[in-house]
Amino acid sequence: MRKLLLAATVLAACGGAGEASVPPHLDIAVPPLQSTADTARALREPPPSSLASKPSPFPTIERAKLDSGIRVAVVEAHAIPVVQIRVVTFAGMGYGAPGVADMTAEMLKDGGTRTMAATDLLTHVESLGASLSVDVDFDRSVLSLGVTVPHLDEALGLLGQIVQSPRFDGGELRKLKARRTDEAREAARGNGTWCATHLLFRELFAESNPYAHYDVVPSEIAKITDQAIRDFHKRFYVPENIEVIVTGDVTAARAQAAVKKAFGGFAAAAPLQKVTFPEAIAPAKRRVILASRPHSEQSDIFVVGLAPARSTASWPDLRVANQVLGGGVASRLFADVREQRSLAYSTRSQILELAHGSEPVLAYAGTATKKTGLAIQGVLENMEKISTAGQPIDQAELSSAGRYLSDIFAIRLESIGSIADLVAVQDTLALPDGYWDTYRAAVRDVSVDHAQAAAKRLFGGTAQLIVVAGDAAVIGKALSHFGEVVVVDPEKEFVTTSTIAADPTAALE
Amino acid sequence: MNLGRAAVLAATLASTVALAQTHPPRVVATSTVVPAPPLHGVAIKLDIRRSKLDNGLRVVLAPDHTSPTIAVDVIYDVGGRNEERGHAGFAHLFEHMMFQGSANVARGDHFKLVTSHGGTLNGTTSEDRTNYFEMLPRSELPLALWLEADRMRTLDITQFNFENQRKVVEEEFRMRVSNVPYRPASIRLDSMVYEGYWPYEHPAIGNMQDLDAAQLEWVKKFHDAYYAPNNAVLAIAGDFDEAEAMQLVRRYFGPAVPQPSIPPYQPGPVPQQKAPRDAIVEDAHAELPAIMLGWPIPPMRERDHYALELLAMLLGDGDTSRLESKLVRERAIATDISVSTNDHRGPDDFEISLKVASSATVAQVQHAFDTELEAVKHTPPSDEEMRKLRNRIEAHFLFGLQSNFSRAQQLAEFELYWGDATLLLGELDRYLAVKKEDVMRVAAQYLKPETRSRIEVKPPLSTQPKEH
Repeated sequence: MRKLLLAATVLAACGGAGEASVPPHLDIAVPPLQSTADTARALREPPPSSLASKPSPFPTIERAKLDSGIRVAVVEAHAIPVVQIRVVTFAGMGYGAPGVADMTAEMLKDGGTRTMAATDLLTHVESLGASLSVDVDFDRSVLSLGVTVPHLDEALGLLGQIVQSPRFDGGELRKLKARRTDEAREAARGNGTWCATHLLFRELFAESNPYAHYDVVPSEIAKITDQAIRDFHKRFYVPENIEVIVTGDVTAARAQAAVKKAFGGFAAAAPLQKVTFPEAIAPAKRRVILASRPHSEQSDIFVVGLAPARSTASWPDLRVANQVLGGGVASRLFADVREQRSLAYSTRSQILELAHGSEPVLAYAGTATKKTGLAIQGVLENMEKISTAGQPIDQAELSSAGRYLSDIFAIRLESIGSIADLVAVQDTLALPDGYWDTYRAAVRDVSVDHAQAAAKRLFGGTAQLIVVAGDAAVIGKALSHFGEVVVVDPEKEFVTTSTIAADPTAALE
Repeated sequence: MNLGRAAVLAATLASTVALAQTHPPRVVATSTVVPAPPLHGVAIKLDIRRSKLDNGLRVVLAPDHTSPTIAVDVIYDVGGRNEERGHAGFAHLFEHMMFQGSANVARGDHFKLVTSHGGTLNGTTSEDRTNYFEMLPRSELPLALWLEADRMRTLDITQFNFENQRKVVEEEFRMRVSNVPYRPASIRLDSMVYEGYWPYEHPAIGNMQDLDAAQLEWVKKFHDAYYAPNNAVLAIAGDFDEAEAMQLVRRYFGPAVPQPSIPPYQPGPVPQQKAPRDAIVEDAHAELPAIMLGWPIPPMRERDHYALELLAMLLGDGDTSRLESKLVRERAIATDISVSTNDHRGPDDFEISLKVASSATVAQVQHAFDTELEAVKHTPPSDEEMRKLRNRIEAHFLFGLQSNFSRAQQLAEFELYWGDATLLLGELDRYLAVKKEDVMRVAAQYLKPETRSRIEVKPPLSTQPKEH
């Protein structure tokens, strides 16, 4: 009840002081989000009491290490006779020259092995009822297979060959490069979030930082040679840098034996070379990068800052503060930018987790072109409120965020694929066994003061980088309201095409 | 039918829910327990219990104590197919209104209550149905049922909520349709395949013109007409005690008033297509040309539909499917292909999309596709191909049973569409019973030139590749 009163009061005050709480384009009376008066609410039936709860600890991870140094992690889950396999190599998309990590992983899948041509290999995999998928993230490259239990040994055997004895067929590489070039051009024209994400990483990290390269552009693809791929494989696909994760309806002993049989012959190569990560570049002042998408009917808006490294002790505080601002349907961005101001269907905030150093924190909204300026203002206002005395985090928000972040784990653990992915994340970030249970307890124990400090750290100040993908001809001038606007052309590999000087008096629509 | 009067009745009874808690209605149908048979050599445990309340609500329980979580899924027998002309997208807009508050839940509280109890939620609208679901820790089963029952009985409908959600849905339309390459063409293809058959001729997401024209008073009428217990299925999957769950179901849903005159669904026949249909769609967001093809086929779960699904897999599922391996990997004249059935409960369609590589021409891709289609019409798949398809179906089926929500949703749809959730248990066998000759036969029987619809997607002129 206290929280509801506070919310109503704050909204009324903002409404009187300015336009902040008034939805645009509406000429009807605007009720606060909690629309019911206290007297009416008192007549309502309260939600029912909870039943008895059960603990849902993260399942035990049985670990082993092969003589070669390959790590093996197994989680048993016997509900359904299926297993998931992840072969994780701890090398992300920017760990080599742009695009090489991604192309190496794709070529493992598409390029055959020493004993099997590409088509034969894929036919064999798919005959097991499986699909081999490749996922290259910021800090890892993952080959994934899900199969029914009887096919476990065969699936692992194929993965072992793929990783240890790739053919990297030159003909397949030429076709893959052509396909990836077409896909990169498609993304530059048709995918606003891809364009904005590419830009924000380019802006936050120096060229020498592996995180500077989010995905790849055509000229970078053209430079990739089969030798570059072989070199990358030789450097990073080494036993001490590889982990095989098996989850599902199999005992740890049987899974470990199968992994040993499939990967046991992997000879250790040269010692793993370290990759260096220069510190990220914090935005010095608020400015706008605008990826021009002619005829776009909607703008993708990212308001970006830097969060402390993932290893920071205050990580639970940061996660809770982010959850309150934009972590889901109970968040402030959802309640205000979407449900109150009608400015977006999708709006959220997110910390992009990286294994090394500071990491991006972003607030997102997708909005109609003509409302771009208003949506940015709405996002910024919410960031300011949560990081100042404007609308500090209250106990109800804190409890809700902590409970959600903790208990949603139980739902994620319903799927063996999700369990395998959580093990991969844990080991990428070098987190100890038992971490997820510790984390779940920690987010529920975050204090208001700590969450508020975290909100200030994440969302405070006025030096945000604003990255927008949208129709520059229509929205460029309005965006100058927020700072200097640099317009880039994603279809020309993000070359700068113009600059619009900052104009705080520019109309937002 | 007097929709206004029905709404008043519903609102009145909703306020007496406390009485209903102490006098739950009896369950009129006996519980049906169906153990799952062994599947193709692998045994799974899947208990399904079906019941029906006095007010017509069908209840499907699938207890499973693997994870201490539950999924609650209420699906209503209404979707885009029930919309009148000029109301395209209204069922979806209405779905948004279901999150705007109800008798005992203030605006915004549905989101907050579920989240603050450690769960997640959503709703979706298709042409064939609308669903609302919560995934929560097992302790919160009462909350999920209470929330769903409350909004089944009555809604908090205001002009502000309606205008707000209209604009939110229009943003969703931009995000999912108008700002996405190839998506407008895909919707256009559906309208061509179903030309003259309104239920599927228009997409569930509607169009901007009809969304702009939607009226507040439609919301109440729609709720009164379709959101009644006898027009819905409630499915619960996960870690719960069956007796306790049924007691809660009776307590919360028992007072919901049935709708005696749910608008009948009378779509009429699909006009017979006698000649191919062709169109060109210019797409400012597309980089590459594309070909989209569609054919009418029988509804889901008819015998030939299983063979058509295997045909779709043969042509387009996985890296070694025929079109992927020939057009994308071997000849590199396409960058992406997809082949699918739409899986409507009514008359269905078979769709193919081929994205043309920058180094190739539309004519090359069309010719290569025509060659593959002719081949499958005249030669059955090999034994090896059939073995692959069967293994993939089995794996897909088993992985699809993992999460509580996935089980609840599949069971609820089977109960709503086909009248019996337990039919799900025999579904895998029906796929595995398809013979290679069936695959060849349905290709020839349904993918005919005269019933084909075809769209060519053209990117902006400046980036179109030259015809070689």
